[in-house]
Amino acid sequence: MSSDRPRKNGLDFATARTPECVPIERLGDAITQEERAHIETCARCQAELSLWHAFEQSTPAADDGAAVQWIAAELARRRGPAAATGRRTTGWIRIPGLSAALATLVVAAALGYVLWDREPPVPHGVTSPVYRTGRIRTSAPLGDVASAPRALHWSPVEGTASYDVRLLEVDRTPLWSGSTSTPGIDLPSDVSALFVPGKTVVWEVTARDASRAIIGESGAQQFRVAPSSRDR
Amino acid sequence: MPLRAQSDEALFEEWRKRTDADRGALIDELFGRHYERVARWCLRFTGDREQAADLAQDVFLKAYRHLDSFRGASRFSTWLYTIVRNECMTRIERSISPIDKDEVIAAAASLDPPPDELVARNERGARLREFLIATLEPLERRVFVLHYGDEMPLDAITRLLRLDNASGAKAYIVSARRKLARATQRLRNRGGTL
Repeated sequence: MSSDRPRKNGLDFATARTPECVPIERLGDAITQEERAHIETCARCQAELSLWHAFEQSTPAADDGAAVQWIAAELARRRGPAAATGRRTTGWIRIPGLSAALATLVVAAALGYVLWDREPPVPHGVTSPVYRTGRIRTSAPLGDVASAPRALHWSPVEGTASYDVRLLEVDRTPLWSGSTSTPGIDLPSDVSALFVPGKTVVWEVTARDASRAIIGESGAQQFRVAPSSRDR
Repeated sequence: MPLRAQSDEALFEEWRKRTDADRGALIDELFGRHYERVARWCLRFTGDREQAADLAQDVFLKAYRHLDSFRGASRFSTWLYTIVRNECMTRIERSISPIDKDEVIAAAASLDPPPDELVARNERGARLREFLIATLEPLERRVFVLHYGDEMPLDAITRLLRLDNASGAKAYIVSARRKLARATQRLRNRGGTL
């Protein structure tokens, strides 16, 4: 994997975790002054923190959006009926210890499936429920913004009677919700006041038709008011 | 309160109280809201959507099997992240080609060193950590630790840390090695050692 890796020359010591390192499962919590001081002087903790940030605050990027949607749909598709019925089995479709004959059948079926289509199946001619609802394209705010947003905007979805909008903390604790019939919504001033520099906020929009059926979803979008140099 | 309006931790508490037969919808909501996040991380780690889907599936499978062990001491998403990270590291370990016999012998010989040697190693480790901090820029350090410490492939680091320069993580590794070599030389010239 990394053939140029200079082995056994102290790198293992320099990059390994130490007893003082902040446990990974604590990275999402408020860290203590002592831990903060340690992170300042620990390349390992700094690397772990940046990886965790990549997970926690990963904003959709244009280059991986479609693939991410595909994987998420795959995950939903692979959820077997066992979990839905609540049995204490895994729920995900896994190949158990099959006999050779059965395994051959599975391989043949899988091969046929691969040749047929690698995308998750989308039922044709079915209006509701659909496998994937439409994707709402959000326009602002996204990523780092200079000042606290006063409104949220997205592209209209045909056939929408109302849009439900939710603002959430990154752990999905609800901050605010609202509804509108237009592809944008103003935020109350007391909500905008919550957007302190450096704090990531998640928002999502759900489009509903006249019967309140979901016809489009934005998925989780994120923004934060960029910290000024003073805040860093 | 509808499931969608509840926090992860509230859903988990609800899951704990329910019997197996009533847990399906809670799990679907709790895990479903993290599908994209895990998918994105796995995609950036593997660089391939099929592999990423398998990796993400293993993550949720493990999360499902070990959900009992979530104690609520951390946020649910952080707990899930530890599983994502461990699964990725396990894949790296599996993919590393076997080391040669000399290295195995050397590694075996280094097991359970005598206490004085252990102290010396720890001291050296501390010196080396300080050396890294003093010599490298923050991003160089992170790339360096992930590549040499965790053996994470450079293209995975490039994608995970969203490095948008032309050669991605490789540029940081090249720069880090050059700086470390110079700093080591300067140290030697002064008669010092690491």
